Amino acid sequence: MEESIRRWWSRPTVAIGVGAMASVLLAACGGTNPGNTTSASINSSYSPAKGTTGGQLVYSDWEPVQDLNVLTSSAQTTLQVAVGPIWSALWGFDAQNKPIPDLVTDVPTTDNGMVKKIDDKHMDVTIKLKSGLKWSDGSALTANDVKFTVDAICNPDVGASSQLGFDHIASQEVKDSTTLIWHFGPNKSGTCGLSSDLTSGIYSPYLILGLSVTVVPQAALSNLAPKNWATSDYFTKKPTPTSGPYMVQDFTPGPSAIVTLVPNPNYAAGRSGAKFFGHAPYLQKLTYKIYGDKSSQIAGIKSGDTDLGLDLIAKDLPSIQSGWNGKAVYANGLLNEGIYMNLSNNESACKAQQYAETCGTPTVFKDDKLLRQAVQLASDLDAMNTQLVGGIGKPMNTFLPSTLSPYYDTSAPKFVRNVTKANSLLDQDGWTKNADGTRSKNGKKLAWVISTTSGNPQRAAEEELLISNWKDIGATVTTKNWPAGQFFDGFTNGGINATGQYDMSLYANSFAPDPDSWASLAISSQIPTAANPSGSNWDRMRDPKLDDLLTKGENTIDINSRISLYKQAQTEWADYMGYFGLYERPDVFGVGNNFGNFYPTANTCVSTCNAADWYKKGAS
Amino acid sequence: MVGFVGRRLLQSIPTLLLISLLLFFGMQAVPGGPLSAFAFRPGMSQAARQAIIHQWGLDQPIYVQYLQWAKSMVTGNWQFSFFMHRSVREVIFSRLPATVILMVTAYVIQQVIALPAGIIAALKRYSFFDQALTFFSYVGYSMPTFWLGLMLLLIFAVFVPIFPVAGIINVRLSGAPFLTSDYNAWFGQNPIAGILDIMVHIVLPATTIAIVGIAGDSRFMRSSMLDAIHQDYVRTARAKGLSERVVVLKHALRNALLPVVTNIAIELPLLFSGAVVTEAIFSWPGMGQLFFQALEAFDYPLLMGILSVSAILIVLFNLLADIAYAYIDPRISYA
Repeated sequence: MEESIRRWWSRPTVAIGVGAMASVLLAACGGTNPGNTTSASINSSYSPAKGTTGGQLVYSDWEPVQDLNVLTSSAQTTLQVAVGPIWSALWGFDAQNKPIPDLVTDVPTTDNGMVKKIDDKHMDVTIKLKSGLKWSDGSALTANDVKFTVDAICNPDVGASSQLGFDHIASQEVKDSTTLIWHFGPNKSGTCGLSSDLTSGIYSPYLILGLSVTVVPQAALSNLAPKNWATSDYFTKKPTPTSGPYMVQDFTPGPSAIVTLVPNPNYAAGRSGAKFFGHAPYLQKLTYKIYGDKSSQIAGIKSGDTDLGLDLIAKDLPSIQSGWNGKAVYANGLLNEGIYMNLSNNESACKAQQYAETCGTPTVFKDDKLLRQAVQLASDLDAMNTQLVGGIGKPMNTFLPSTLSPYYDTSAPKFVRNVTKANSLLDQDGWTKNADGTRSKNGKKLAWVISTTSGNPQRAAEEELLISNWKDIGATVTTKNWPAGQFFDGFTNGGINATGQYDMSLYANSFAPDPDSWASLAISSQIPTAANPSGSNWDRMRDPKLDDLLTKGENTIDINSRISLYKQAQTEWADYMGYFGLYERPDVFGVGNNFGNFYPTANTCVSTCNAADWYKKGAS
Repeated sequence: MVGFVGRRLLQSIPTLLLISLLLFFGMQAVPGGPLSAFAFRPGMSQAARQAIIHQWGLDQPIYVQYLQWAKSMVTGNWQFSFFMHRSVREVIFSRLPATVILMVTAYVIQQVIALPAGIIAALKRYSFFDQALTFFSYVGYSMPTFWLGLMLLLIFAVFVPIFPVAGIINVRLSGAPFLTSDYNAWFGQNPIAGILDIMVHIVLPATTIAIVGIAGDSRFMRSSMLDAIHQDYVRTARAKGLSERVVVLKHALRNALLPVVTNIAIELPLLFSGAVVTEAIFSWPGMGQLFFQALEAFDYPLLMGILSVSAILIVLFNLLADIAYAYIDPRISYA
């Protein structure tokens, strides 16, 4: 929720033309039988308790809710009530980032035949809705509504918060009322936000699309010009009809927002017998309450005014750990605090040259892999977690978070700070130690500037700790921090990171639940330039081997092959070392003892995807 | 009197016009704008952005925007809030009751305690009561509202949970937010429970506001009363053999109240504009919190609506104060 993060998943996807390369790999993989391993790899073990019907629960946040626009809003406070309680998605994700079918009968995979490779550049994904689904007003929820929603996401007049991945869908085909086929294929620049031509439609991270398709009703919206959706009553006052387990009874927006939700009487239609969400909502009433500030929310949690408090962070943990009728829980996941080294030139004085790569002064990290490795080795991630994150963050061992199953390399060694080895690497690299403990090479001092968002005490403390860590290897590091808006602004607006006006940056990135979400941070074609201003490789990594692995990862459907590719990528990334994760930032929650089936997650499901399963313990 | 009121009302028109001009153009000069809310929507097309700009009238020249706004205020339309997606009038009138309930309660508590306390402190100057009141006043006045509010919240809502922690009502009880049609229906069926619910919720925020107010107003009353009781006419009244009660209440207090009335007249419009900090701490759905949010969101129509209502109220209450003088001070005549 904090503003000082870069929401990676809301940025345009990478468009890489690697059809030929992918086809080789796919052909190779086609001979292997993924068998049950494929399903097993992504099958969710989510197993909620059977709830009791009745009662009311109140859940809360402390930041305002402006509207209920499930398609355009990137505000977590809106998504926490929109995704799950009000609208259902095709599928959601559990805490281990594994998909859970919601509107669909099954999550499409190659194993169940719902994902098919047509040729080297084309694939089909079949969306099979549960039969008999209904909107809250009793009308049928059909494949046409799904198609309409995807069209809306790709319509720039709607202004969807993320078009990530939808640019790979060349066309949609409604087979019948419950069946829709997404035909993936090459697309031209301009299609659904594409910034350059896409030569291959093989898109293995297709699973991330399911959560974004929170289906909206064609009948209610088709008569309204998409450009007027943002201010329509449907998204700003009372969305009717809805597809989720609850309907909006009242919505008061603003800093004291309250959304009163009542059960959707038609939610259970078509869901009978489903493994997940196969029942009517349990609660008689669900209220989403916004407190004016966090202190009030915490007081509300402790006094029982609210049964569940969302949007808390590690430093709030001590306040809600005890002394009330509930407990504090937390989840780590896809929000990762990390260090980004600029592997090219610092372009601070290159505005007139449009921040061309040829301009500027080479940073100390450029072409010095051993130094970069030494910097990571000297960083005390455990101390950072213990001292600054209350011990509930997870120090990162690879560029992927440990919850990104099954791609995270569980065999990767646990990161251990090793100053001796770091110093040895620097000695080997020609950085000689001076009498005052600093290091120099060819008359150049080992020094750089670290930048982060200004006015953020947590980040300032992290900088202080790291600077102290790096002093142990003879590095002299100073700080220069920037307002978040300027720090994260785009290339054309002269954003500090996008234009490379830094030596080293410290910030958090929020990722989608697929390893491809990290690719654009590293693929060399994504280095931002005047010709490619939306490029997202802000640390200017340029490693052909990593390019190859990540590109293949995006274009390989077979999950076992993908797992293997991303394991190799994790090893290569650790060796090349441009970005390294510091810790998986924890999301903290206060959960009352009467709140049934709350499962903390730290992905885009924001812990509310399973609102249909929420129940009040002891309700009769 | 009628002529005086008429003249003052006419004089207030250019005043209000000038205030509105200053507010409107001053607001436009602030960097940023209402579209900043859409700044981080990379998927939004220029057409969609333009549609919103057009819908909100932001593509018109500034003077046209002002004239449109002025017209909407006069005709009672009050334009449309960008942030709340509702008409400004609807938003203000949905928030005003909560603020009025809170502020009037706090103000009544404040004056009921502050005025007698100030009078007693002046009459018993340097007594224990006077010293205690002075001490309380300095503490109360120097205490930041947010700290006081949080302390009351922690003590009386968390550690000793006597009062609710936030809001104006218990949504679990009514099942709907304050003043929505569902709430009103519930309130109609359960008026006593509804009133009691609000009363329980109002204690902590009203106390927070009142404590700070008592500290200031009691000092003001004390000072004014001290001035009055040392005047010649009070000495004369005593020399005439009037009882101390008559001297104090009829001669000293009546004169001492003149500056107090002015002070009250200035404070009264605040009853409608709300208390930003207190409303935020206690999640009170009132005008203060709304104003802050409108400011953050560059919601020009809503800001102009709130500020204009406040400006009109200030002018009106100042007029009322002048009228009140005539009743309190026989020396003043509006003939």
